[in-house]
Amino acid sequence: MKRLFCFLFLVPMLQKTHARSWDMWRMQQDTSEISEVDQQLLRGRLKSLLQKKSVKDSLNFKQVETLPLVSISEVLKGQVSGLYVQESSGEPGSIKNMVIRGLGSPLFETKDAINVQPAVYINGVPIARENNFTYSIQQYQFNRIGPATDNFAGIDLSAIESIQVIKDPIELAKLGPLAANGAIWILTKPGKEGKREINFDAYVGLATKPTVTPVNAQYENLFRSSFYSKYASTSDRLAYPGYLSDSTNVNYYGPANWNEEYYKTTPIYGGNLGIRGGGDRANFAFMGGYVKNASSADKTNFERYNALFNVNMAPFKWFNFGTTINASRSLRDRNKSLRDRFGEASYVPDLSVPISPNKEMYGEYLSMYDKALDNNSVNMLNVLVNLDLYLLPNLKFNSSLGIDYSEGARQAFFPSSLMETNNYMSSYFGFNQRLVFNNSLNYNIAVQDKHKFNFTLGSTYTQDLYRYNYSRAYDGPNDFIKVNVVDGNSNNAGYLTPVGGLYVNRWSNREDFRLHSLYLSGEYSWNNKLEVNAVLRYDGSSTMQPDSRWITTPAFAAKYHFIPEANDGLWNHFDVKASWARIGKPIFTSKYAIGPNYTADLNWGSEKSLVSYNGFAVASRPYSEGWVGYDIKWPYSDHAELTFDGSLLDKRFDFALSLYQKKDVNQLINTPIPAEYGYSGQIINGMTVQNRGVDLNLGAQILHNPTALQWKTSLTLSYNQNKLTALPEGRSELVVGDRLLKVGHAIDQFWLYENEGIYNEESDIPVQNGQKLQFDGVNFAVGDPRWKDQNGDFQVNDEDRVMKGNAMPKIVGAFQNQFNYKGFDLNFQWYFALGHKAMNQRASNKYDFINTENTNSLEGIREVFHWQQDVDISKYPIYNPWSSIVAYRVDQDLFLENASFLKLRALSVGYDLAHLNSIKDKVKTIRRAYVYVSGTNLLTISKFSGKDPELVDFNGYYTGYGLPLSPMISMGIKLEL
Amino acid sequence: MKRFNQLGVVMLMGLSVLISATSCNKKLDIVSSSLGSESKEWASISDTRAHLMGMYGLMRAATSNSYAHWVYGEMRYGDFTAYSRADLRSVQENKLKAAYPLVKDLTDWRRFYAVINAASLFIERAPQVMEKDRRYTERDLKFDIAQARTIRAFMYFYMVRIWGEVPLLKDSYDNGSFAEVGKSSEATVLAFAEEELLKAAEELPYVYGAGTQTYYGENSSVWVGVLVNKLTAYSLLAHVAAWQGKYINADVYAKFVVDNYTRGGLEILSVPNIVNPTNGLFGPSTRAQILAIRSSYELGEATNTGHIESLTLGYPIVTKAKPDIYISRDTINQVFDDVNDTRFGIDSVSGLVRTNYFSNYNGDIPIFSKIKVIRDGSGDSDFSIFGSNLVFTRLEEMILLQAEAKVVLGQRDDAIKYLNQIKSARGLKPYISSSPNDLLEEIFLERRRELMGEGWRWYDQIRLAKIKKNNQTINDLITNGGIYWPISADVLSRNSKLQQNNYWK
Repeated sequence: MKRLFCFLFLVPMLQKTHARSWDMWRMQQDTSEISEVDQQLLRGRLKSLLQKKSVKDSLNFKQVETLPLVSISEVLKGQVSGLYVQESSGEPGSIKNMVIRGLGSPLFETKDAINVQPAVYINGVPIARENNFTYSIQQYQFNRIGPATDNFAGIDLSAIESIQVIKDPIELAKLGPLAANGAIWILTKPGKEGKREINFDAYVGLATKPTVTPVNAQYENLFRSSFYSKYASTSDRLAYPGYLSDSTNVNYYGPANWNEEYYKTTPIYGGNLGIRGGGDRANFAFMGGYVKNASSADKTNFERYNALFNVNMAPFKWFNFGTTINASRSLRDRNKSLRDRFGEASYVPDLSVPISPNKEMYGEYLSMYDKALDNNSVNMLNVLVNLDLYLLPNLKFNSSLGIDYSEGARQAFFPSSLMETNNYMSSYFGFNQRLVFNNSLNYNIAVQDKHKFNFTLGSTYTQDLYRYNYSRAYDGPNDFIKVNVVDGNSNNAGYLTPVGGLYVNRWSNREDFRLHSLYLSGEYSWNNKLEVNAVLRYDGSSTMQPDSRWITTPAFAAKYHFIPEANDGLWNHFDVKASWARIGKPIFTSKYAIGPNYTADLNWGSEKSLVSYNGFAVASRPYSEGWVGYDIKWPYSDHAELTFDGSLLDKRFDFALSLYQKKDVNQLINTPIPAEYGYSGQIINGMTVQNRGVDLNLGAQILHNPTALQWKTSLTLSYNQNKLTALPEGRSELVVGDRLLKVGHAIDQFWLYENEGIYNEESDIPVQNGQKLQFDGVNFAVGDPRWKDQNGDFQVNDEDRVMKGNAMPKIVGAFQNQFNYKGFDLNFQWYFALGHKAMNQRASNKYDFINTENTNSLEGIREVFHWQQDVDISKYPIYNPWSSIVAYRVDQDLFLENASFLKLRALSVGYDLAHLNSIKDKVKTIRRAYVYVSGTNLLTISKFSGKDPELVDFNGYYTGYGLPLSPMISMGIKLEL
Repeated sequence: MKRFNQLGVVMLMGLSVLISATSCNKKLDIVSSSLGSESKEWASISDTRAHLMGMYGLMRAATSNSYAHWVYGEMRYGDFTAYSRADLRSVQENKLKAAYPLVKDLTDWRRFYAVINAASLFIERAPQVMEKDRRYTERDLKFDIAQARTIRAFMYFYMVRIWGEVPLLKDSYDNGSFAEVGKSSEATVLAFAEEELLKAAEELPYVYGAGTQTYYGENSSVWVGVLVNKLTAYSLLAHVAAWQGKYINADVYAKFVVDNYTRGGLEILSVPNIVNPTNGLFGPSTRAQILAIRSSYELGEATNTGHIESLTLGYPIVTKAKPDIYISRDTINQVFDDVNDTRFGIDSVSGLVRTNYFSNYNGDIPIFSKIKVIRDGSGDSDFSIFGSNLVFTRLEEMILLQAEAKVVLGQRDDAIKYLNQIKSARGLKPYISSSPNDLLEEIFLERRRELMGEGWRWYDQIRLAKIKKNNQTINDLITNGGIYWPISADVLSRNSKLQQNNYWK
C-alpha cells in the first residue's frame, strides 16, 4: 500500500475537482440530448486517448505485414532511417540489439548493450527491460541466465496499429530520461467506432535449411598436419589428439552427415483473430493470436500466445476513459550448443573428445536430450488505464497508470549422459515490474486565430522492480529427479537440505529504480507558419546520489513551414526544423546512489559464483567492481537536429533529411587508479561520446495510375560516425580489456596488431644491437607472424597496436519497392549495411587450437557444427601455433574482415481477393481478403568469409555461434470483414 | 464567479501535480539491498565478522586467481611439467613475459593489495564497532585486529617473494584520494611485516572459542583450522626471517612453533593422515592448521578452478583425459630414492607402488594425486569441483625450516634431530652425521619430497641457492633480479612512480 501512496494521494484531490467540474458542466448544459457537434467531439476524444507522436518515421506496415517476424526489433530492421538493428543469431526469440543514431557509450561486455538501447513504449508505457545485474554471478556471459528471451518479442504485429521511431530531440525530451537513447512508440489497435470489424490472418511457412559443407576428421587432420609437420616437437606429436590419430575410427573418419540431423526444414505458422467495434460513447477492440516460429537449425523454436483488449468510454462530455491490456505468453526451445550449456552450468568438463560428425552418432547424442528439460517461458502484461478530464473545453487533465510486467522462468535439467556422468539442473524465476503514473494538465489557447498556445504541466513517476531467484545443482542422485526437492518443514533436522545430496547453489537479487519527473512544455504556433516548442524538465532518480539527485534539462525546437501545405504547384510542402534537447541519462544500477559502499567481493577471474567464506557472509569494499566516490553526477545526452522535409509533384515525391549530433556527456566509466589500493579502478563521470550523422528518407511514386501498374519506391539511408570526445580527468586514452578508448577516435574501433606476414627464416627476424625484435619481452622466432613495430622501439607491445575498423556500420539502409496492379502487389526489400568490420574470432579459435583446446576453456569447445568448412583456410598463413607469443591471437588485423553486406531481405507477392466481384457479392462486408506468399533472407551479397556478416556479436566479434538467418517461405491470408 | 472557479480548478490541479511531485521525492531514497552503506556499516558484531571473513575471502581470491599459489610456487624450474598447456610451460621455462592470459594475469598484484586494503580498513574501522555494539568485546577486537595484521603482513611477504620491491601502504586511505606510492625496498617491507606479525603474535590465541568460550557465537569446532592464530604469526615470522637470510631470527621464531605446536592442537601427521581427501590436512577436516585457506564443499565454496587439483588430476581420478601438469617418472624416481618412503615407494609386502602421492604411476604419465579433494573429499570422479584447503605451511614444514636454520647456524646435531623427526615419520632411514650427503642438501631434498605440490619448490630453490651458491641458473637469477616476476603493464600504467623490475625491462 505504501507504494501506491503517490497514487492515492491524488484521489481525494480528484474527487474535489470532479464535483466542481461536474457542476460547472451542468450549468453550461442546456439540453439533455447530445448534439451532433458534441458527438464529433467525443469521437475525437476517444481517439485522443492514445496519441501518435508527431514524428515522421513510422513503419510502413505494407512492407512487413507478410513476413513471419517475431520481435519488434526484427520488424523494424531497415525500415526507418537512423535505427540499426543487430541480429546476432537467427534463433527465434533470442535477444536482438537496437541502436538509434549510434552508440552513446562503448560496448565492452554483453551487459553494456542495455546502455545504448532505445526505450520501447507500448501505448505510452515503457517496457521494463531485463536488468543486467544477473551477469555479476555469471562466469560466462554468452546468455543472460533465465529464459533470455527478447523483451520485445511479446507483442504481435497484428495487434499493432502503428510503430514510430522517435529521434526528434523535442519529442524525446517530452518522454524524458528513459528515452535518452531514442524511443520506439508503439500503439496497439484501438477500439473503433462504427460497425464491428473482424480481422483474421493466418499463415503457414517453412524455415529452410542452409547449405553447408560438412567435413570429417580427415579434413581436420589435414588441417592440423600442416602445423605439425612444420613446427611440432616430439612431445607435441605425442600429445596429438587421439580421435584424429586413429584413421580407422569410423566415428570421426566415417561419413560426415551431422547436418542432416542438425538442420531440418521446419514448419512455422501463426494466426490471429480480432474484433473491433462500438458506438460514439464507447468502443472496444479484442484480439487474440498464436505464433509459432522456428529456425531450421538445432530444432529451435518460439511460440507465443497473445491477447489484446481495449475499451474506451466517454461517459460524460468532460470525461474519457480507456483501458488497454496486452498480455502474452512465450515459450522457447533454445539451441543445444555445448558452449551455451556448459556456460550456463559454469562447469567445464573434459573437452578433449568432440562430438562425432556422423549422423547416427549425433542422433544418439540428441536422443539423450529426451531426458532433458529445457523450459523457457515468459509471461508479459502491459496495462494502461488512461483518463482525460476536461475541466474546460481547452483545459484537460490527464491521468494514466501504466504497468509493464514480465516474468521469465527457466527450468533446465540435463541428464548425466550429457555432462560427463553428472547431471545438472537449474531453475530461474525473475521479473521486471514497472509502474508508471502520469498526471498532466494541458491548456490551449488561441489569440486572434493567429497565435496558438499549448501548455502542458505534468509529472511522471516510474517505479521499477527487478528481481530474480536462481538456483542450480549438480550431480543429482539419478536422471529421474529433475528438480530440486527439499524438506520444507522448518522443524525437521533436514530443513531445506536437498534430497539426494545435491550440490545446490542459490542466488537472488533485487534492484530498484525510481524516477520522478516534472515537466512543463509549451508550444506556440503562428499563422500555421512557425511552430516553436520548449520543454523544461526536472528529473530525479533513485539511483543518483542524494545531493545530485535532480537534474534540470531544457529543450527547444522551431519549425518553419517555408511552403505550407498546398495541393498545387511544384511543392506540396517544405519545412525546416531545428531542435536541441538535453536529456538526463538514467543509471539502472543502484550501486552508485550511496557513494562509498560495501559488497561481497569473493570472486576471482574464473570463478564468479562464490557467496561466502567458511559459510559466513562477507563484506568488503567493491575492489573488483571499482571504487565509488561521493561526487557522481547525472550523465546526460545532448541531442541536436536539423531536419528538412518536403513533398512535391502532387506528393509523388517526398523526402526527409536530418542532420544530427548526439552527445552523451559526462558518462560514468571505471577509470584506473594505482593498483596498490586494491581496486580495479574508480567509477567517475567524464566520458563523452559524440555521434554525428545524416538520416535520409526518400519516397517516390514512380507509377501512380490507379487503374494500371503502380510503383512505389523508397530508400532509407543513415550515416553515422561516433567519436569519443572526452575521458575522465582529462585523460586522452584508456585501455579497457581488449579495447582502447582514445579521445578523438571512434569507440567501436578494434585495437589490433598490424600483421605483415610471417618470419620464414631466422634471417628474416630483425636484429638490433645483437637483440632480436621482441614481442612483449619474448623474442620473435621462425614461424611467428610479423607484427608491425609501429613506434620503432624494437619491442612489439600494446603501444604498437593500432585502432582499426569499426564494429558499427557507417551506412545502413534499405531500398524498398512496391508494385501494385489491380489487386496484385509485389514488394521487395533490399537491406544493406556498409563500412563496418568484424573480427573473425571463429577463425582465430580454429587456428589457435593448441591454446584453446589445451586450456580446457569454452573457447576450445568443438561443437557439432564446427564439422564444416566455415573458415576460409586459404586466407591465413601457417604460423607456429605453439609459439608463446600466441601467433593466432584474435587482436590482429589478420582476422579483421569487411562485414559490409547487401541482402534481399524480403520479397512478397499478394492478391486482394476482395477485388473479385464474385467474392464481394457473396460476402458483403468484406473489406480485404489478401492472400500472399513471402520469402525472407533470400540472398546475401558480402565479402565476409564466415557464414553471414550479420551474425556478429554486439561488439563486432564473429564467433560462428549465431544460428543462420536461413530463408523462410510463408503463405497466408489476411481477411478483414 | 465562474472565472474564479476556473482559476481555482487550474490552481488546484497545478498544486496537486506539484504536491504529488514533492511527496515522491522521499520515494527516491532507496538503498540497494545488495550493498552496505557507509552510514550503516561498522555498527554491529555481524559487520566485523563479515569484514573479517571478507578479508579471508579476498585472500582466497588472490591466491587462487589463475592458480597463483601453484604457478608461482611450483612451476618455475619446478618438478612439474606442463603436459600440453603452453602458458604453464612458459612459466616452467621462466618466460614470464609470454603473452598468455594466465601469465599476464599473474603479473598483476592488484588482488594482493585488495587484501591489504581490506585489512588496513579493518584495523582502522573495527574499533568503532566496539562503541556501538556491546556484544563486540575488547577481546574480539584484539583477536580481529591481530588477524588483520597477520593477513596484511602475510600478503606483503607473499608479494615480496614474487616481485621483490613493492609499494608499502600502511593505511587504507579510504577516502577516494588515491595517491601514487613508489616502491619500498624488500627490507623495509619485510621489516614492516615483521613488526606487524610480532604485534599480532602477542595478541593472537592458539585456539579460537576454546573450552566454554565462544568466538562470534561459535565454539572451537567451527573455527579450527580456519583462522590465523599465534602459531601462524610465528611461522610467518620465521619465514620472513629465513627469506632475508636472518637465520638467527628464523631459528627463534621456528622454535616457538616447534615447541608450542601442541597448544595449537597440531601434531606430526602420518602420510595417510595428510593426504586423506576427507579427513586429511587438505580436506574439509576439523584438523588444526597453521595457515590454510579454506574452500569447503559443505559450505558451498568448492570450485572448479583455482585449486591445484584442476591442474594435476586426470583420468581416472577425474574425467579429464590428461592432467595439465604432472611430475615425470624420472623426476619421481630421482627424488624418492628410498623404496620404504611412505609417500612414494614400493610396498615391500605387496610389492605394489604406494599411491599416497601419485596415481597411475605405470601409465604413460603419472598423476600427482597427493591433493585430491573432489567435492568434500568423497566425491566420485564425474563432477570435478574441488574443496581442498590451500595449505600454506604446516608443522612438518616448520620443523624442516627449523632444521634448515640450525644447519645455517652451525648447530648440526639439532638440525639432524629435526630432519630425522620427519624422516622417521615417513619411514625413511635416519640421516647420520657421517653421511656423505650434505646435510643442508638433504634437508632441502626432504622438503622437496614432503612439500611437493604445496607451493614451496621455487622459494626453496632460492633459499638453498642463496646459502650454497651452487646452482648456476638460480644464482644468476638471484644476482640479476630474475627471481622476481615482471610487473604487469596495467599496474605500471596506473602508477607513474613504478618501474618495471630490472630483469624484465
